[in-house]
Amino acid sequence: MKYIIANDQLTTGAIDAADEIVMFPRSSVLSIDLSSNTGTDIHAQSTSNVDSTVVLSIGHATVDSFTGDRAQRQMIDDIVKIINMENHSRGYNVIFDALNNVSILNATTLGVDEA
Amino acid sequence: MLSKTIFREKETFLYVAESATYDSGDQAMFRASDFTGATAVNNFKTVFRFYPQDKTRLGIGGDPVMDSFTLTHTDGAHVEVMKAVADALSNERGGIIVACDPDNTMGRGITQLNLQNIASTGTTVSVTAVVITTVDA
Repeated sequence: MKYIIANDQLTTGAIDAADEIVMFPRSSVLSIDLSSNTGTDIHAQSTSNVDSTVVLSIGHATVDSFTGDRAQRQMIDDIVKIINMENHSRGYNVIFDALNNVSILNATTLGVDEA
Repeated sequence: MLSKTIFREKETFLYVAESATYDSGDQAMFRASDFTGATAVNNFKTVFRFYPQDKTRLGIGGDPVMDSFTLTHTDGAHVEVMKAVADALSNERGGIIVACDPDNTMGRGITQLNLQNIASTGTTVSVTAVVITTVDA
């Protein structure tokens, strides 16, 4: 099994609670959906409660424009590549790490919500 | 036809020991395939959760209560610790990997995790303690 890591904090000093950094098996991903015209959500099974979910909310350019529409579709492709670990031999893949400036293409922000 | 390599994949276990006092629950092994995920706890702790081993925590008819171990590590090193644990869990050779054993009860040192420095600051990362939460602890 490979694992997905996400971090929405910008500095090491800011990391102090759940809902900031999460790691889960890639098989825990449940769905990807459009939450608004500037946001796409990745839903995964919660790490602590099988009835709940982890939601990774990714911000991006508005899809009400040609470039924004392309950006969102490209981003979904990139999310699927991360889940499938394409071109990645390590045991993990980072979908977004604000601290270390790691991000999938076109993603501008990330919010981690472990319900 | 399925490749033979598929059948060569072996189970990996993470070993953790709170101390060299051999009371119930002070040492434990967690199976990689039971891993459900990890989150930050505070600025120097990360919790790793697994499906429970004991029926009293399985929550039959309800929700399971996850078994877990919580690593104490260098401030802000949550991502680096998660990466090291992910590499250990996904090891296809299988076997036992020491995640945290401050008193060296296994004889393999404090940890066998391949901990990288914090990328943004260059700070060396270490794990120093673990707390186990299972039916026995």
